[in-house]
This record gives sequence, structure tokens and C-alpha cells, in this order.
Amino acid sequence: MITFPMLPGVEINLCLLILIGLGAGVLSGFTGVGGAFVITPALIVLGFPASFAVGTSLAWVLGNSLVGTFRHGRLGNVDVKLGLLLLVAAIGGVEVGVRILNRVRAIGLADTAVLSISIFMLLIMGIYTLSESLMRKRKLDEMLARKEKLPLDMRATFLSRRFQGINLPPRLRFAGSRVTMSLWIILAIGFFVGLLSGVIGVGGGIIMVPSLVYLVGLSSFMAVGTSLFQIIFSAAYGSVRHTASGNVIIFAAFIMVLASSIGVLFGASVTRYVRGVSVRIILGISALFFAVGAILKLSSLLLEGAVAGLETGSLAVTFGGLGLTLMMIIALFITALRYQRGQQIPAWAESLVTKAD
Amino acid sequence: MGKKRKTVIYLAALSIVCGLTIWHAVRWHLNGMDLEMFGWLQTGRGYITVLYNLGLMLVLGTALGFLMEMVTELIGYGAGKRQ
Repeated sequence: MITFPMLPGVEINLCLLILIGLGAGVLSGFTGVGGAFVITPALIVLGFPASFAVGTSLAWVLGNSLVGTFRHGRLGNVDVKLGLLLLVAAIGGVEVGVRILNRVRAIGLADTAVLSISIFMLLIMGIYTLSESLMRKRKLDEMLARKEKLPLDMRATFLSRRFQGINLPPRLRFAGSRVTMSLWIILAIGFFVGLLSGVIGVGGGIIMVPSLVYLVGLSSFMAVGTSLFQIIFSAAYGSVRHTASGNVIIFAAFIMVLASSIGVLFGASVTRYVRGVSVRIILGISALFFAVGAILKLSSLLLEGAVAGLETGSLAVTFGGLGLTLMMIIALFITALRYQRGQQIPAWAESLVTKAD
Repeated sequence: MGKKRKTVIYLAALSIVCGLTIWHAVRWHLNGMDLEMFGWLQTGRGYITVLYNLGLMLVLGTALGFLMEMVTELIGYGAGKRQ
């Protein structure tokens, strides 16, 4: 157990702090999400006051995404130009989102409104990502049955082809991700993601990655790396914007970053052994778990605590989701290693993994 | 100088940077120095404190990122660019 001078009387379990950092790091490195949506409630459960939990988790996101970006950069998964453009637009969106949130808060609807929007967005995104990736997996299985060579990842989707086709100058070429698109479309997508992040209050990775895949037309790997890259800056901006009262326990954030640096490195490295469809399946599942957790929390708020256990259920679903996705990532890694060594793997898993190049 | 030796030197330097940053943060945190540090400021204390904490995290994250890359490189698990 450790104590912090800023939190008199609060004792925190060091092992749990390390485990949470490690787990959130793996998920972040593999799916490109910041991870604050797991860390913030986890810190509150461990005993941190809410304001300290938000500040500390944002500081953790900064360190964690830095370490993850290094590995994804080495893998060639980061498009710096695209990331910076999205970031500029996203910051504008966050500002507008925060102002909308303040207006909603002024009329006393903040918690229920924010949770309702989060649930709606996460359900749409989770269901779409999961159903698209499962359909894609079925197609890959059919190709495998015909003994055709499988692509590492799909490229353009129907929506991204439409967006890429809009001829609104200036059109920019993003060499890293091999995409040509109008600057205004990129800025609009970044603004939209930032707006949602500002209203919902999450880092944006869980919305940014599917947007980059389905709207811009990036490969899943490129979307993960570029999302983590822009999260470095958006987390730093969010820290200054939301925690100007100095509620960061940097000591706790350091402990978690040390643990998560191993996790994020592992998660990012596993992307080398899987096809893009695996990344999207895990991302879809995480979003759905997060949505179910938020539904339970909203129910608890609306019923004003009349039904016991809803709040606990919300936390259990969030952490259960984290545990399950972690197990899936580890299972994918083990399956990929077996596949690479030429050992037998289940037929349904063959379309999920690849031999690292 | 061989590549391996160079990597080891970088590794040692980065470990020192990480160690010093952690030592500084832990020590100042435990003796309460981090609370008093910007006490002399009349305005903007909150922002400066957040920026100081972010600076510490930036240094640790960058050093740790490089360090982890070098460690994995050294033990033969470095990442190559995806084709």
C-alpha cells in the first residue's frame, strides 16, 4: 500500500495500480485508444477523488501514448502530417464541445445528456465496427477456402472512397498512409471527432480510430499509430484545459506509465502479427463493453440509486471488458506465434493472424 | 565504435534520465516540495503546476519510449517497418 501527501488518509494498492497500467497499456498499444476511459474509473475505485483521477489519468495518457507512438513509428504506422492536421481541427472541436457541455451543465442536464450521447455514439460505432469486421472476416475465410492470398488489411471503404473523391481544393497527398484527400474533409473529420470528445469527455481514440478507417480510408494499423500520435497532444491539451487546478498526482501517473510502457510496447508489437480485421474486432468489442457500462451508469443516475448494484455493475462491465479484450489480444499473439512456426491453429483463426514481415 | 556498444551507452544515458526524473518526482512528492514549489506565484499557479507535471511526464515518456526501443533492439525483438 502507498500513500500520497496530496491525498491524506487515502491508501492505494501498488500492485493494482501496476496491473491497471499494464492492462490499459496493452489495449492502448493494440487498438490506438488513449485508455483514460478505463484508467479514470479504475483510479476512482482505488480511492482517488474524481478530480485527481481525471488529471492523473490524462497525465498517464500522455506518457503512455508517447511510448506507444515510438513503437508504432518504428513499425511505419504513424502519418505525422495527417495526425497534425487532424489534431488542429480536433482541438477546435474540443473547445466547441466543452462550451456546449458547459451550456448543458448550466441547465442541469450534464450527466444524463453526456452519458446518453456517449452511449448512442459508442453503440453505433461498436455495432458498425464489429459487424463490418465480422463480415470482412467471413470474406477472408472464403478467400482462404479458395486458397487465395489474403490482403493484410482492407483499404478504402464505401464512405472513404466518397470522401476521397470530393474535389475540393487544396487536395493533399498523405504519403505515409497513401491517401489523397481534400484538406477541408480532413479538418471536418478532425473537428467532428474533437467535438464528440469535448462533449463526451474521453480522449478521442475510441472515436478517432474507426473514423480514420471508415471515413479517411487508412489501414487499421495506420489508424492506430496515427491516433496514438495525435493523442499525445490532445491529452496534453486536455490536461491544461481540464486540470488547471493542478490535480495531477504525478507519482501515481509515473508508476502506471512504467507498467504501461511494457504493456503498450507489447500491444503495439502484436499488431505486427495480426490482420487489420483483428484490430477492428477488438476495438468494436471494447466500444460495446464501454457502452454497456455507460448504460448501467445512466440507469443508476436516472433511478437515483433506487436499484442497488447498478453503479458496481457498470464498473464490473468496464473492467470485465478490459480483462476480456486483454485475454483476446494475448490469445491472438499466441495463435500468431504458432502460425508463424508452422504449428496447427484453428481454421477460423487463420484469417485473423499473419506472418510478421 | 560498434553498434552494440553505442546502443549500450545510449541505454545507460536514457536509464539515468528516467531514474533522475522518477527520483526527482518521488522525492519532491514525498517531502511536499511539489505543493510549495510554485507557492510564490500570485496568479496562474494551477497552469504552471500542470505544465510542470506535463513536462515531467513528457521527459519520462520520451526517455522511456527510446529506452524500450533500445532494450528490445538489444535483445533482438526490435520492430522493423511493415512492408
